[in-house]
Amino acid sequence: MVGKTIRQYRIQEAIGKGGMGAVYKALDTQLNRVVVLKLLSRELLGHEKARSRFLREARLASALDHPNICTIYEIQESEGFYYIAMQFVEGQTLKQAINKRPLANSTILSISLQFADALAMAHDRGIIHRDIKPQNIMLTPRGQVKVLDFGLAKSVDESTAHLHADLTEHGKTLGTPSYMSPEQARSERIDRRADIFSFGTVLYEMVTGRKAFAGDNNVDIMYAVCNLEPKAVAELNPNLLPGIQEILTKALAKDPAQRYQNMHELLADLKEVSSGSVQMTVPDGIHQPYAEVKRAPRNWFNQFIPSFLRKKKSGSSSISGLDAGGLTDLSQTQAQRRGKPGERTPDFSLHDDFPLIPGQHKTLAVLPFRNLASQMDDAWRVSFLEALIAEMTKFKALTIRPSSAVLQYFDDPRNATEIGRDLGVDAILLGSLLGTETRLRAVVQMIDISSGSILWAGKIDAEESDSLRLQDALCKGLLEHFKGKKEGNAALDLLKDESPDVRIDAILALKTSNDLTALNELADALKDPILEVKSAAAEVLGYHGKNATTAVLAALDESLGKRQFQTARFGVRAAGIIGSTEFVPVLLDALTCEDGFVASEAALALGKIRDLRACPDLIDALQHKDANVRFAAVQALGNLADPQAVSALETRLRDDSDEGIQAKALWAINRIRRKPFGTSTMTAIHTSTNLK
Amino acid sequence: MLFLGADIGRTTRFALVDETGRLHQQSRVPTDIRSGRAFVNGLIAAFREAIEKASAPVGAAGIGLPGLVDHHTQQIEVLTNFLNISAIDLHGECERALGIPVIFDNDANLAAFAEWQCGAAQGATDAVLITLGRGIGCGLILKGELQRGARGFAGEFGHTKIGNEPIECSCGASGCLETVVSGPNIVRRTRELLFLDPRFTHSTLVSKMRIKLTCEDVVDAAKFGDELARTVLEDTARSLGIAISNIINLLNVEKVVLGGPVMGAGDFLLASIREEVARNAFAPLLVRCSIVTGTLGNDAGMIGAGLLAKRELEQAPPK
Ligand SMILES: [Zn+2]
Repeated sequence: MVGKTIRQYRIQEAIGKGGMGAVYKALDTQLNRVVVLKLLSRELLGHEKARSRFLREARLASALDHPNICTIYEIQESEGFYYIAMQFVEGQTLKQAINKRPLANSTILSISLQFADALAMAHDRGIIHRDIKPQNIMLTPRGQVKVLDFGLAKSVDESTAHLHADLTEHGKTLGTPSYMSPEQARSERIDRRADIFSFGTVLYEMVTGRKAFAGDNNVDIMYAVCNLEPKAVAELNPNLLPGIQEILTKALAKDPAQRYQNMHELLADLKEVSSGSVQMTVPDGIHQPYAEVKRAPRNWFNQFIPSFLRKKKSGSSSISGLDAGGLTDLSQTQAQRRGKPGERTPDFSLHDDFPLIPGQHKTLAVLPFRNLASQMDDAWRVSFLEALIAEMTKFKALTIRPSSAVLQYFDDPRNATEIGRDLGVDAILLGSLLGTETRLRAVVQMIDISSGSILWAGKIDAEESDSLRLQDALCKGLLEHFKGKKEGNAALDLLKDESPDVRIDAILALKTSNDLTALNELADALKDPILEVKSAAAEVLGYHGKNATTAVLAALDESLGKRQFQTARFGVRAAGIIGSTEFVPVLLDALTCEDGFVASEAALALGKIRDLRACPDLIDALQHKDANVRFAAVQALGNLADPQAVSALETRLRDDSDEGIQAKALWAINRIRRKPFGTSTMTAIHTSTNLK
Repeated sequence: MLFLGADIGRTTRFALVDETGRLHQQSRVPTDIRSGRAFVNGLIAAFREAIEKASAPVGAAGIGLPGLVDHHTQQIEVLTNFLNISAIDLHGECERALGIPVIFDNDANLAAFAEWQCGAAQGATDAVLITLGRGIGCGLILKGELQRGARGFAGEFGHTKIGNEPIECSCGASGCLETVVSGPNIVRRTRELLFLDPRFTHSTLVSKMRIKLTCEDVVDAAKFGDELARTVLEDTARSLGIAISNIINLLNVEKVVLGGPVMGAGDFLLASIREEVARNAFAPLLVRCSIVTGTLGNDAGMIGAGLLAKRELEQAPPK
């Protein structure tokens, strides 16, 4: 690799091999500066979704501008791998600096204050580091801290769990779990408090020279992280600064709820410790801590939050007397829901700007649009947001949050409902931009905060000669779109979007729609080329119950007639979820379909509908040559619980070549035998007519 | 002196075992299950031939069976998932036909004995060995002795309750561990998952599922990263981890040895099991407890049968 050139980077030397790829020192020949280049192979990043999330997070992190955070210059894809170009920091890692001995108190304070400040700022931007460890903290010769790899650690959740398994299986280390939080070790959902725990482990190591959690192997270490308390630091460092043990205890609490809830709290305690320590030396390059700069706009922002919200968030000490008001507010709301006229409480009327009366005035926040794939710069996006908000205020039924309240959520990676709760609004309008400076597409969704469902979704295209006109055109288009459509209906347009994810979102948006014309569109979506989209359509059609019967019957007739088996498969599935006996004839037909998936789904659907007329055909299907069909028939007969099926099932249990079918047959037989047979079942058997 | 060690399953595997547990002259014959009589005759003929061809005198025979064996009477109580031979005095017939002392034991007990004598649990005083295959076998070593319980049936780990699937078990109860993690139930759950989530339509297992799917197929696919197989085995690990935590909490064992074909899925399965145990077991009991895979593999049953026969012969009062 050394000597090779990737784009403008000439690779000079290998620096190391991280968990996810190789790291090189390289020369940026365009800007003539030395950079660190990380190469990540596409395969390592997993499937498409995981990759795009990784890129999104890394790009968000690259926007972090803080003197103690190593700057990421660029993230790009080239020749089958991703590369990340970042600032080259001269110096040593904190791991090297500690070298298994406690650091001097002044050094501990200097490093931890800078480090904590960097984390506080990143957290305020909604970015979690996830992989804090001494190896990721660089110290320059002047004593400046640079935190590396923000946003580069992959998030641990279901969709990437398999990737971790892969990595461990292939013997590539994921790094030591010594600095993980218990929730990370358990692969649970994490938030910024996981970073706070990891910060604690690093502070511990600076103070003692030893890892807070150690063990012979990763399992032992993870066990220690989750269950053991680290040794008290006073035993390991005779010159311990007063107050440090308390900070460590709180930062290293196993339960996130017992920890510092944000880095600002921790930073405040650290400053307390440092002000008590006399000979603290501040190395050059320490900047004005971020936390204090930020405080002023925060208080200013608070004034815009409705009183009831403020009461919920902060303790009652600062805003006395609001408890009663809050209660009245609640009872009033309930009264209004029951249709009785309620009287506004004094507290509420003080904030007439934000009347949150359900069903009448809704508060809406328009979030800054994201750049999905467009060249629009931040300034353009801010002015677009302001223009759009100005236009939106024309809707009398809506109270729109001012741009000053929403600008702080610029590129905030949290999900909309979280931000919505933060803002205390009923709904959020969010969108993303694709295109060029003259031709843009905005994809927009309005999301209900209480339910998380999509109230409205739309797509607006605009083409203009310059970017300002484009802004106006987009605003106008959006508004017209918004005015012209009833809630839910706009999703219909998105059913044909080129992105399958958008199509799935649109389908799910139709779940709550009362518009019966949507049902035909949903049935049409069963023909979608993508399996996941078909499946979503089947589910949502099923959700609409008997209303969807006609549409599904038509789709089934057509697809079975035209031998479109993938479509028929999901039509059959929708029929099963709807559960109407009207489907029985067509399902019996589908049960003999040459496509195994269609026949299997037909069997499962017949089992769900529980019409005993299907029994003889399902018993026949137990002989099917496709094992999937036999399995589905066993399942269905178990659901139907018809005693006539027992002996055929016993044959499966004894003779089927597939052990899974045997196991299922045992289940079905036991289920049928256990079932008390009431008269209604017996009547159904006697009155059953042969449909074929 | 040599000892005959046999492990009876769908096929019967047997060998001559020396005093150190090494195997000589291994053979395998398909187990004849057409009738109880055919079953007995087939076994006796095969064993007799092995003893006659032996390079040294054979002192005793040990035979492992997939079922409950009464340790005192040596009678077979139940052969699980197998044929009914209750009318036949198998033990008596074997001793008469072979002319040497014969001991019967549960196959999992014998595998545990082998892993303890010369495998992964060597040197442990308190250990448990679990075999994951068509059924769930378990042998207990406590205070340096193989434990059998009052009638010799101890260690029916597969029928301990975890209660998260309302599937009835071969034992007649429901909620047994076996209804989740036995080979056939792993296949059953794989098949159910295929229909639950459409993305699994792309699984590498689908073509096999049309014809015949085995637990080994699932294990292999998981090794190569198939998502459907992984999902199934991760659920398997979760149930196993919970059940193993119960053993650890109850007995404070120092070694949990896992064997059988399911463990062929590799390190990721073992790691998932360990994680689940760490979540569930009482912490102090984990401090000196390790969970490992067996080192003797499929031979454990034969080795254990031979070694146990040797020990019984040494300890038996001279007739
Ligand atoms: Zn059972």
